[in-house]
Amino acid sequence: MVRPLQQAIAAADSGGEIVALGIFALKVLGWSIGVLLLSVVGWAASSLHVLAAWPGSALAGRLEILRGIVASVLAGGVTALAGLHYETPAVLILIGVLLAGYSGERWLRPLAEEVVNRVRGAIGGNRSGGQP
Amino acid sequence: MSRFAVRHLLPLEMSVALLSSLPIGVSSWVGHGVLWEILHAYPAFMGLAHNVWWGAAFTACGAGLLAASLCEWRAGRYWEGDRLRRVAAVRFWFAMLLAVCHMALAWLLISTGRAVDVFSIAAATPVAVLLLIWSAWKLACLLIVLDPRIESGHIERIWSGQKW
Repeated sequence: MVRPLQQAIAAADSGGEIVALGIFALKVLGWSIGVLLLSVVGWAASSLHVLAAWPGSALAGRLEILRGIVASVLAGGVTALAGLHYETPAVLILIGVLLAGYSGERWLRPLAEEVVNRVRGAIGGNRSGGQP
Repeated sequence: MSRFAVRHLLPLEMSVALLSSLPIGVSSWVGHGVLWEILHAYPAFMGLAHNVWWGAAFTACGAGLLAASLCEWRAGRYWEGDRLRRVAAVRFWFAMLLAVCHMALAWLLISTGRAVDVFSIAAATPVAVLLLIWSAWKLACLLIVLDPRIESGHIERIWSGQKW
């Protein structure tokens, strides 16, 4: 079991593929860290009032912050993937991720919550006899 | 108090824009040097070469930061309230965007193995990024202090204890 694996690693290493794979992994790691950091920085820029009044032990406040960060990271990740797909210059992708992180908290999360509330209201309304 | 709290950063922001961001923008856009060659080797995006996009990003953000800082330096000594908050927000965003541009260029040079070829940029990037992030941090504090919705006594107490 181990010997074929060692042979495969040796064969890949002789062709320089392990080095290429290592560099690829490093690039993916670097990009992931960059996207995550910039999304969170974008979120922080849109949430100065939240950060200034840090709730400390309040669970609801922490949950609110977590939801904002998740929305910003999602928006930043989608922007980065779209930028990589269209071979956009890296500087534009990273600026886009920063602005997407800002937009994620500022506009996308309230929009998503509004949609969810309306859907929930519609479902709840239907269950209780079709009232809006 | 708040209007003086980040005025000492204006020369710093203008220096970074003038000595680091704008030269990089111009050399990557029209310079035909090593940086221009590295960026020009990438395939065009939306009909424009990569070096044009990079040059435009650096030049636009650098010129924006320089203009906003210069404007406040010349005329903003007694600005208060909304006016000060608007120009602080502009400075904050240009400083953030420039820090991102500098980090992106350093990452590109390192990942392509050409960082040694333009060593002056690789060497200057950490300093520029640190100064820009410091500036953005202080401006974020100022934006919090100027926002009437936020309780910011703790920041003002720290600032009032410092000598300017």
